[in-house]
Amino acid sequence: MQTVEIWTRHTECIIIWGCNYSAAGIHHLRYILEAKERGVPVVVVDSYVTAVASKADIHLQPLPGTDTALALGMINYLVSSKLHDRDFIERHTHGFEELREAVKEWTLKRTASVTGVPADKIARVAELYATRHSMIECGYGHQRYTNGHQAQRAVSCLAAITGNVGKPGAHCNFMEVGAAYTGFLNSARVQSPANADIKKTRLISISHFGPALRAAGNPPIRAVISWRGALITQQPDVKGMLEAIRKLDLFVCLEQFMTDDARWADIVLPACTMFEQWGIHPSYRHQYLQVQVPVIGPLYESMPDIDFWCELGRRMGYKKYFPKGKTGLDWLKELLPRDFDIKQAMHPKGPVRMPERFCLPVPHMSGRFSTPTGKIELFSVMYEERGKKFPGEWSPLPVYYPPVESRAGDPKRARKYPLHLTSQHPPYRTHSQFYTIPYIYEIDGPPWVGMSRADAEARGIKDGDRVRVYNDRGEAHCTARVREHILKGVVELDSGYYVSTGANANMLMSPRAAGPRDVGAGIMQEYDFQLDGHTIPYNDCLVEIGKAEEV
Amino acid sequence: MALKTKAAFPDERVRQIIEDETPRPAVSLARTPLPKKTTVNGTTVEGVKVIKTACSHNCYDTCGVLAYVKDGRLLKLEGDPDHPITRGTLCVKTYTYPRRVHSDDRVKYPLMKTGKRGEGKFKRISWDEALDHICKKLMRVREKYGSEALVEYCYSGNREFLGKNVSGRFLNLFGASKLVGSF
Repeated sequence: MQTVEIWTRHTECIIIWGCNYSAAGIHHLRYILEAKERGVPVVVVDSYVTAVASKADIHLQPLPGTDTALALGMINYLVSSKLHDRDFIERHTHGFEELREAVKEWTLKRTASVTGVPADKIARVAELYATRHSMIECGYGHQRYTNGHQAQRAVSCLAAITGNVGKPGAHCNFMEVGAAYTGFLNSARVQSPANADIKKTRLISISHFGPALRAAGNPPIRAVISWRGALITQQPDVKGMLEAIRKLDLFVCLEQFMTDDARWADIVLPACTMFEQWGIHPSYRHQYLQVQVPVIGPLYESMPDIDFWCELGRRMGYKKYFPKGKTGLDWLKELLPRDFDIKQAMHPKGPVRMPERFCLPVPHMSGRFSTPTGKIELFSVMYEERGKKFPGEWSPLPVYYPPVESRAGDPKRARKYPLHLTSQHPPYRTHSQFYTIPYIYEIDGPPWVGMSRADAEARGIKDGDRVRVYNDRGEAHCTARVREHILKGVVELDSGYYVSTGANANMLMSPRAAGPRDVGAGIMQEYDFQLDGHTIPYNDCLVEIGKAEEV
Repeated sequence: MALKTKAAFPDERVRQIIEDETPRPAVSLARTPLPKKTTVNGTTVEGVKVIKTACSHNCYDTCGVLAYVKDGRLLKLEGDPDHPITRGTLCVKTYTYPRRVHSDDRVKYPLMKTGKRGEGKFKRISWDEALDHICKKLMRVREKYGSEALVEYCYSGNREFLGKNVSGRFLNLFGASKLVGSF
């Protein structure tokens, strides 16, 4: 990831792809607007009209899940117009000829018809992007589909064939996880103490948690400790999840509020907020660090999270590994590099920039890449190899196919449930958090679903009506917001409403995981975070909407 | 539309840009003196302690935060002006955080369900009783099914990493199924 204060000052063109800074990561918006004031054109690719899109010079609004097609169409247009960077391609990429052949079918006409974006607009953005030092800043929007991994590959290939990689202001950031996973945190030292007898165990994919709970047989899963999460609220297929939870011998929830998980737990434990305990959080999007210190003591009978795990450890017979009196600060020192001076990052000092060996401000400036070919793999040898080992969709060249559950992907289902539901992050909540705060509720208001005027009129729905969003999996009850800016055939229901509000989008969603590797029910022996991917395709969902029955 | 020059960024120039635009790593950036008083709802409050910390919510900005504390109460939060990226501002969520910390709706003590799962009926118990119950159940589960019958569900409610590493130590020692991946 190229750091924001550098790229925004040196770029000549910005494409923000599937990313809504006005809801999450608001501080980046200021940098984008500063670049805009400098005269840099800003393009936003998003099916939504977000507040960021409203500030863009050009907004491309593709139909949900067609981002791959859009990127491939741009690649084909640029290559056939000879606007690609031949020198960069030759020196730093692998598989250009294969890619050139594969994208030939993506004429502007076909791209426009699949994505719904006018052909001249696609061409204009492609030209603008290819002829400048350009930056693509990706979010997760286009990744949360069953074809999301290919969308991200296609966008990266667009950056590579134009040489917009590894230069200040010319790169493709895709929200890689940053210093937290590059060795700055020595997790192994904390999690696997040297002298302990630690056995390799099976792995459970978090994006397939519900199916894994139901499918696990040898042994079955009988105990779940839920903390810092919301498996009932945030995982798809709520009914299936509850069915699995009913069968557990033990369901514990460490929480600050009576969330859905807490309501379903056998034991609810009072958790501390982030202001009552130690913590460390290297950002994914910048390179500065401030240690989190407890600013007040634990309120009521709440307990810092690590104290709970240490106490549980001592009571379960692992006293040696959880010494009494070991403080959060002691644990932090164990987690951080030994040569890192934590005092510099701790009250009253800090923040500090993290050591460069864990996060380069301008990565890939050397032109070296950690792939089998040492180059940017337009034709992915890594995918090809991985595909020999595990089942899945490992096309080494970026390829477009419609999302599994979309109008194009499942026309039969779409006859019954013709509206494509997308579920974005709400600006005033962090997923399901903050909804209980009256101040926030006053702004956020009761649950709502956004729909286009055409779709509303066809169903006799007026702005402000109570409606039922439904399919064969479940339903959500909310207020209709009829808006001009929403694409016809697309409806928006924010993520994170508690199930108990009756408006939770996950009631409508199927328990499928996205990503190249097919992990079946989500129980694995081996897993590669970078290659196997995985997310939940929250934007793969078809629904119908009707007026709620009058009471 | 000007065509870009391909050799616009030789290594030395990139190094110069990095040097010009970023401070040296691992050196404290604290410059602004921490205030000693503040105004809360129009009233001046003296004798506050202002503590530097960070927000670990799930938007990845990881804002630098100044926490205003008096008598064990979090009075208010402001952005840390010395943070080079978040530059002294927070989002509306974090500005409301003191109301969340001191909310009357918080889970205040350990609870045990009294009805069926999901019925929402609980009674207050002590931490000792809660931990005893959990330990007994975990031992029984491990005995009957094996250690992999336990799994944690943990994600980004608090995105900081210390907690997950300490839970990881316990779960590794216990031999629980390991939660991996993202969503």
